[in-house]
Amino acid sequence: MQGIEPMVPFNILVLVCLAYVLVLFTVAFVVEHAAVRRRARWLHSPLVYTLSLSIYCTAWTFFGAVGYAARSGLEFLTIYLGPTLVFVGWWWVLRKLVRIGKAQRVTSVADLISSRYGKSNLLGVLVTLIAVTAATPYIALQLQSVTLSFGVFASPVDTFGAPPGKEATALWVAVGLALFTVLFGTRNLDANERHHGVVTAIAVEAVVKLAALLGVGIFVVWGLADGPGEIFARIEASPVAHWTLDPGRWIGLIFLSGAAVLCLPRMFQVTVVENVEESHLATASWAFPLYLALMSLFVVPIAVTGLMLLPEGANPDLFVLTLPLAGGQGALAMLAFLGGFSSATSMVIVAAIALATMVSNHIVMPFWLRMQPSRAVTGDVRRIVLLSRRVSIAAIVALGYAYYRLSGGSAALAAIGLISFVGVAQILPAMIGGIFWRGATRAGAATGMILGAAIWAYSLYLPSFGPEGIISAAVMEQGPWGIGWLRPQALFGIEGMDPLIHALFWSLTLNAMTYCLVSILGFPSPIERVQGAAFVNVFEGGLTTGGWAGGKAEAEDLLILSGRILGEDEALAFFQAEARAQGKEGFLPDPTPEFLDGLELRLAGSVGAAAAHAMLSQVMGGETVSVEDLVAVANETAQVMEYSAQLEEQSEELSRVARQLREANEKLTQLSEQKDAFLSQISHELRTPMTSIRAFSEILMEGGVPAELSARHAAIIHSEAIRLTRLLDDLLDLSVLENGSVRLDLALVTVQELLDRALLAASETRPERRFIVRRDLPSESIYVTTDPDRLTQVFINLISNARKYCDADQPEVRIVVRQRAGRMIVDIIDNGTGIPEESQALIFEKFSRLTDQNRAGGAGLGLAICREVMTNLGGTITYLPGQGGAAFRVIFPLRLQKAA
Amino acid sequence: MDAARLLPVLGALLFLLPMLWSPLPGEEPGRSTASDGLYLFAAWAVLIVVAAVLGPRLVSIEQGKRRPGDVSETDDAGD
Repeated sequence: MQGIEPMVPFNILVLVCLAYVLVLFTVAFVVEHAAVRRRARWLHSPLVYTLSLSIYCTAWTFFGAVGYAARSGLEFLTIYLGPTLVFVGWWWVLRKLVRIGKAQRVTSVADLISSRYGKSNLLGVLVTLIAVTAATPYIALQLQSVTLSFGVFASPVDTFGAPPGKEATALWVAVGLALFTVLFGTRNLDANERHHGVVTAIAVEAVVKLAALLGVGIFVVWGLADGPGEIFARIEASPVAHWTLDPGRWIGLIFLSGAAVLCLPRMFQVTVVENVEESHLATASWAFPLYLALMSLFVVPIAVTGLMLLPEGANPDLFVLTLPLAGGQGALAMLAFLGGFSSATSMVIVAAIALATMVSNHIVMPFWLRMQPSRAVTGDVRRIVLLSRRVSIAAIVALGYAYYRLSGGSAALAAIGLISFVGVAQILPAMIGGIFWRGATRAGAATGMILGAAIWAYSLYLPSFGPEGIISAAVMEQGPWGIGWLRPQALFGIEGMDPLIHALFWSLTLNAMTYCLVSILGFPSPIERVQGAAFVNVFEGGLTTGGWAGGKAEAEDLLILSGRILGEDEALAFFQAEARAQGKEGFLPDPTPEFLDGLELRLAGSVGAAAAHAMLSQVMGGETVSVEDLVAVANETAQVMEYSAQLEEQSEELSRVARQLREANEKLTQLSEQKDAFLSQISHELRTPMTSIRAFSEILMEGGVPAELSARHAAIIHSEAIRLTRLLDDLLDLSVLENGSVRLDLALVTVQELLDRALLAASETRPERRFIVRRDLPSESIYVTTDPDRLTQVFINLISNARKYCDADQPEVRIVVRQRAGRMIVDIIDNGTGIPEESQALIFEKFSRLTDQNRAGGAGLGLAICREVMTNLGGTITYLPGQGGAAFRVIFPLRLQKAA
Repeated sequence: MDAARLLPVLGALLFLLPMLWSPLPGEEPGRSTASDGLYLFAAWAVLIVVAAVLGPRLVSIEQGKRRPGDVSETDDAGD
């Protein structure tokens, strides 16, 4: 068994890694595309969800569990038993977390805490800082394990020391991971759109790790030994059997790992944020413990066999790799290597995504918002959020790498896994208290977490840097300034405790106690109460936050704001849906409290609760929690709730119907007024030409007019007759269109052709004005089957309207052409003042003309005809608010089928 | 549903049980590591099986409850 030669040259190893990453890349890419087209039903299977949870098993557990077992026997199992209990007991906590996550559109664990305690950004920052501090060494640990396993292959196992290019390896791994994460982790902004690609790639990696560990285990049990019986005997004979169960550590570690599985940002990301359906939890509740059990099944056999067969002093953390190598199983060793590689990469990817979301939502965005001088949010927020997330990902991975370099990849890292667990466990009291206890306050959560984190840093994190680190050996021995009861590992003079358990005990106990005490003594602010009720009673539905009272904001301002965050199309779609729910037509719903809450949740999905709240506050002008809200929160007993929910439902229904009726009524009144106005208008329009025709023809009839003059009179009669005909044609056209008895001449044309024709024809309207027309020709070269004449008529109308009514100094028309789901969307947007909100509903009605100024002929039939034409062409024409000018959206099918 | 609530408690008991028969630190171990391991894995398996049996039922209870638009699921109130 001595003198093991590396089986694979270093460069081939690199190639294998690259190929593996390429496969993952392809998986992520394909899935992402399938998800966009909503084809991938299997994506939403509980299996993928369960497998993605396996990022709990990092390289630390993949390689380290065996080392752990070799050093302290069965104690390594505690790391898996804790999560098992949490998942088996999903009905208690996980179910509630997932439901809250969905209801509040939570983007990260920091967002959860911040949102629960009154959307406090202070808490968000605090949680983010704790999480980043705890995760940095953990990421470093992953880099180290990949580098070490590279080392095993690249040089004989006996000389572990320094394989060439160790730092370079770690650097390349870090850069590659950051790139992968940026590419697939920051595609979508809204957390509720989820990272399908990444999750599936991670599920694949989960299968690889499990297969690798099971493969090595089977090889050890049936290849290097004669089956379970012999392994059993070997365990009894090996030094592993001499471990002793320390009850303190046993309980403490089970508790700690259970806390970690809830609080670790990356676990929260996959369990809550990426959860597609609540029922998946039911599957995960047994499948994930099963996965963990399988992962740990062969750990002890591998450790025992490694201790027995491999030379003295071989690193037990690498037995998973070195045993198959020593047994001459190159392929198996390669699989094990890929397993470790998978564990490390998947952890870094998800951790980076989760942490970057937190950093960007709770540190970068609030800071950026603060920097904004004006009340309104300007600029393209969406791009800034994405950019800040990308930069955060790179920075977090870079931090991990820097830590790895600074610590020198030493053994000090090995213990960091548990230290990191204790760090994130500081979030636990605020989290559990937040979802079960309405009285918990922001101040309590903040002081508890600060105190806990400080004790953790002082008694565990900083000492882990070693005696030459920040805390010197003298302080460790005698305490700071010689104060004995402040010794980092013997606080309050209690000696002899295991340092880890000591830190866990004190930090969490004091954290929880302060949290409860400050919460009881203090009083939650209104928003905290509202949020607290929404979190604790999440299963009871109804009574969600309810924070925005009094609609001072214009719906149009809100639309502009959300367009910048969600993207224009999505914002428009959301507003339209909301407007329809309120029983209104068009794109602008009333800014009711319900609508604002919905909008805030929607924005929170993109930028986090605190930032979304702050942005809306900017537009709305100050925080608004009304007295009614507070009364509602204070009074809701179960009966009142149920009763009022029913009443509310009915009254909502009533108010919706009433609104519809009122709107219809308004419209009718306006229409009838318009009709009267039009009748006088049309009789005027008809009479003017008639009068002149009559007058001039009488002159001609009397005779005795010079030939020259009579020719001129005849010309006038002729032109007036033409005007009359045109007016009558328009009316006729409209009635034909309305009856639907119009004949369509379908032909194949490009959109560009249509627009060219329309622009040319429209240039006759007010030819003295210089107009800038902005178009994107490539996007227009799409063939459509439609009635070109009719469609051109619509475009001519819209463009000449812009020419007529656009009141900008330098008038400009923008034409945007897009293709969506078999339909063409053409937006025609000018840069004038646009159409006031109250008129937007009327412009498509017959005979409506907004102003009398600028009247350039026509009887106000243009847009009405346009609408009828579009209906006949199977499309629509709508007014688009919030575009910085009058804007019309024309939608028509790519291929119009001939009806009859 | 109550079974689902009790399951983690049962699990915790099972997992903490080895502490009872383990010797104090420093004493020579009087029991076998391998059989301890077997015991823990057996307990684990029991939990997994029970959870697997309970899971689908809980989901159907849950869905049955949400269908009729019942707003007051009071048995989960935290306080």
